[in-house]
Amino acid sequence: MTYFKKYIIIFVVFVFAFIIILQITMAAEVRVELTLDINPGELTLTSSSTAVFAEVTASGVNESAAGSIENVNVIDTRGTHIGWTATMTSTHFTTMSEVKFLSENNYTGTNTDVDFIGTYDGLDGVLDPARRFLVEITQAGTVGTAAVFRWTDPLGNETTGVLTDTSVSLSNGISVTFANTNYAVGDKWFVLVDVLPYTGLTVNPGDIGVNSGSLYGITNGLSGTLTGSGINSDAFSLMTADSFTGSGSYYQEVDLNLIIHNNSLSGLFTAQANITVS
Amino acid sequence: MKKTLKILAITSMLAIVSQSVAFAATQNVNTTATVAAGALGVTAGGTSNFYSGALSSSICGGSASPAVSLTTTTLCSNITAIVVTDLRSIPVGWAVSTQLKHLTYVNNTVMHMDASNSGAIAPISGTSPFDVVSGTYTGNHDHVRNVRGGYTFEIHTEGVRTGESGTTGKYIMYRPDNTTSGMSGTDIPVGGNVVDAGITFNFANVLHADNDMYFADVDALHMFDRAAGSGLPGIATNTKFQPGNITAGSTSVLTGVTAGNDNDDVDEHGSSAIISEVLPIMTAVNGAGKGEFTIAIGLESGLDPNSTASANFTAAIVVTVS
Repeated sequence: MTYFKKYIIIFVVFVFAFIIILQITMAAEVRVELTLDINPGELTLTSSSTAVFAEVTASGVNESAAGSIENVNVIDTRGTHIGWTATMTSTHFTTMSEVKFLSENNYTGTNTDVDFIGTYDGLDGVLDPARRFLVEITQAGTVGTAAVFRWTDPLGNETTGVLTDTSVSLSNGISVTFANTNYAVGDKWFVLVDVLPYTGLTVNPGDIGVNSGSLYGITNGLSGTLTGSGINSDAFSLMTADSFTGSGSYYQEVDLNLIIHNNSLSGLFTAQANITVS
Repeated sequence: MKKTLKILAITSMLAIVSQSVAFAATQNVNTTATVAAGALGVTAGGTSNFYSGALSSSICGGSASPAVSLTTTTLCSNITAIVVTDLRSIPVGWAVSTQLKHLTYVNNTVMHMDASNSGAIAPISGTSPFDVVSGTYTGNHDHVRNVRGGYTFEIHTEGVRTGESGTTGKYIMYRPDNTTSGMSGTDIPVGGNVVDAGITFNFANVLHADNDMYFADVDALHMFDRAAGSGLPGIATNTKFQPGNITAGSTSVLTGVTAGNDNDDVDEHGSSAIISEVLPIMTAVNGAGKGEFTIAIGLESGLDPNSTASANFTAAIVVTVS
């Protein structure tokens, strides 16, 4: 029993000594949390603001004109990597001639009291020969009070008994304006309109370049012709980033080829292409 | 005889009493105080945030979180208030150090590509056939720069877990750096758990359909270089680690206490690839370092382009003194 007590005492002494030694030599540590929050950016698209086609001379057969939309650039810094698709739509290419004045005795006059404004939507389709919007005064007098007119659209549809005004909407995106003056019965004004439908526009999305990111999962659309029946064509795919890809900056050039129908008007045809990414 | 003894006793007592009255009295009292040896300890600020900005003399100049960018974004942070207290009786010196880890995140919301449903990809609802169970992503993969930084598990052969009734299914695991677990497929293991880079994934005990895919997002802010090897691309970061100036407590002496050297390109530790080399923060030589000493560390690294956004990247590192 005495020996047992001795051992206990020795053990306790050793434990205390060990603790003291530990206090002197034991390493200490502290945990530090490093954190980082990253804010999302945006999905954006830019491109050249204009695309000019090579000039073509009107002829009796179908021709074609080439052009391109340069620097279509998709930037995705959302940090979601959920992919995207860039598409384009287009309106029809249309033109409107200068205003022609037809008086009873003068078919080539320069009266500028009446003007036609707006952008022809081209929905009347290709008409050969090109047709016109025509306005004719049917009741003499001043604008907005007495002068009345009738008008016809390119398809020959006639609307009668319309009171003149500063601006009167006709159809297909076209309005007619009347200057503040007296108008005589029988005076006429017209403009010729023509259309190069978007269904004759072939779109060829070019190879994709990369400013930042990787081309993995990024593909350009297949060459094809626009389709649709409305003012704007159906959406046409230019480039696509698959799900789980697409972060970065990607660019391409889009080649265009437009059919110029035979016996078209000469002049500047314009269309509005709309390129979106989502 | 008795009379004589009485006289002697009385005289003796008188003598004692007279001595007590006449002598000055002194008393020595031994007082003792025992001072126990203190400990060697270290504390630090609990959390250090990374911001857009660079270090200037070990001070982080940033104050705002970064946004996803097309180019590398410089980030910096300070681990502040690293305080070493050495209250041991014998100043034998000490060394403070740490090792960095990649800042990572794991999105526990798994996406499912249902091959039998026109390949639609959607979050899993209801009973999940696949889950991220647990773990902290080590970040030990190079980035595929425009691609969702995650794991993809593709069912190579329709089937169930090993040991369950039915044909054993096989899967292919695509890691964030596009390396795979083998294109011939790997048996879904018993219990369904697959562990990779610190994360435990689990195939549920259901029939896994051929060509189905499960996606688990992960991403990393790499904090140290990793050598390329075994088919793995290397990781390059140029992470800077800069200990600042040391402040001594009011009764402490700086002599013999020095800050660690700047390290402008932190490397991995050995071949572990999940923790950096040891980075000295502050050292006290033998005979110095008693008292309290404070230091801060500046960290600077680059956030890769096209990173994952709106995620909380974290790393728990340990500062050690010994």
